[in-house]
Amino acid sequence: MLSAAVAPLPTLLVIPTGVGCAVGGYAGDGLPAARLLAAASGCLVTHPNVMNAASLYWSDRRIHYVEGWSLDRFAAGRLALAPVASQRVGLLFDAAIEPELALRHRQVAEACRASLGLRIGPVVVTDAPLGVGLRSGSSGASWGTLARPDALLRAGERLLAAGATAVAVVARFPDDPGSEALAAYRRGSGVDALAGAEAVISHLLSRHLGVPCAHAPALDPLPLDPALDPRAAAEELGHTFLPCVLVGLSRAPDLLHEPAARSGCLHGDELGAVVAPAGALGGAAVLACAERGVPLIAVAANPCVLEVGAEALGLAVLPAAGYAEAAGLVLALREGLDPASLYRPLAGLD
Amino acid sequence: MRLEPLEVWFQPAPGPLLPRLQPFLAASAMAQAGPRAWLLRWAITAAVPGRGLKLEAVLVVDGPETASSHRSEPGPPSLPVQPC
Repeated sequence: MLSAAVAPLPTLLVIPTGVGCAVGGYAGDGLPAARLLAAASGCLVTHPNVMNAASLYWSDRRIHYVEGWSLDRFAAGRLALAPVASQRVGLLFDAAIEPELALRHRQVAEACRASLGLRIGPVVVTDAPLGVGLRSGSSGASWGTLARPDALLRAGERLLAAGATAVAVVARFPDDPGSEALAAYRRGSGVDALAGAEAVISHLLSRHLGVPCAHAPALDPLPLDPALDPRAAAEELGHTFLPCVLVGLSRAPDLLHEPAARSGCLHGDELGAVVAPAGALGGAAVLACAERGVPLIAVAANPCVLEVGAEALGLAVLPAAGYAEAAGLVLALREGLDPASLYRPLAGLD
Repeated sequence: MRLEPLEVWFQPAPGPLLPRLQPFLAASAMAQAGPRAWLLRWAITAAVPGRGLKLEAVLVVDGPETASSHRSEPGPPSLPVQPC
C-alpha cells in the first residue's frame, strides 16, 4: 500500500568555520537553524561547527553529524553515510593537557557514560605535545597549525586498534584571556579564533582514519564577562567543550567509500538541497552540490568576513532572507513545489 | 610531516569551476611544497573583479622536510574556510 507520508529530502547545511558567521559562527548557535531544517527536510547532514555548543547539544535522529573532511567527500559522491545505533567513541588527549584539566575531561566522559549511556573508550594520550598554534589571515578568518601532526595520527591509530569506531580529540589550545579577538568574540562581533585550528585537527584525523572524528579544545576557564553575547554563552557553562562532541559522535554515521552497498546508506547523489550563507559559497561541498544541480539555498542574513557570492562564482541560487525562509524553501522542494512559484514577480513561460 | 598555508589566484572561465579548480590547486600545492604536498582544506575566500578568485588552503607535506620548512616564519597566512 502506498504511503501518504512525504519522503525526506536529504539536505546539506554548511556554515563555514572560523569566518565569523553571524549565525553559527559562535558556540553552536547554528543549532536552532539545524533543528528547523531537519524538521523541514526530514534528513539533514551537517557538521560539528553547526552542532557543537560545548556543554549543550541536541540529539536528533534526522540530523547526521559529519566532520568537514568527510562532508566534502560525501557531497562529491565519494563517501556514503551509513547510520548506526551507536559508535564506540575513543578519546584522544593531547599530552600537553595539564593533569587537572585532563581529569576534568575524563570526568565529562564518565558523566556521558553514566548519565547518557554513551559507549566511550578507550583513552589514549599522544606520545608528544601536539603544539597547537592559532593563526589569523588577512581577511580575519582563523586557521591553525600543529607542531606534531604525526603524534596526532599515531594516537588515532592506537585508538582504532583498541576498538574505537569514532574519535573525540581534545587538544590543548593556547590561553589568551586578554586578547582583543577573544573579547570581540565573546561580545558577538568577532571570529572564533580557535575554530580554524580545530578544523585542521579534525580534517587530518578524519582523512587518516576514515572514521567519524570531532574536536574539543582544552582551555583554562575565562573570567566572567557581564557583556557576554548569548551566542557565545554555551562555552561558559562548564570546564570543557567535550559533551557536545561525545554526543554528536555517539550517533555519527559510518563513512563508507562509494560505491557502498550497505542497506540504508545515504549517498551524495540523493541530496535534494544545500543551504549555505550567501557570502560563503566558495567551499568544496557547496560547489560540488551546485555543479551537480542540487538546489542551492543562499541565506542572506548570515554575513561573515567573506564576500564570495553566487554572482562571482556563476552559480544559480534560491535566495533566502534567513533560515526560516530557507526551511520554507526546503519544505517546498520536499513537497514538490516549484520554488519559483513562491516569488514575485513570477516570470512567464518562455 | 608538516602543515603550511597556500594562497593563489585563479582566473575563472565560463563553465563549472571544480573540474578546473582542483587540478589547479594540486599543481599549485606541488609547485610550492613539492610532490609530497597535498591539500587538507581549501576554499575561495575572495572574488575580485579583474583579478579573479583568491584560493586559500592548508597543505600537508609528507615525509622529509624541504628547505621551505626551515623558514623561521611561516608563509603568507591562509584562510581555510570549510566546515569542521
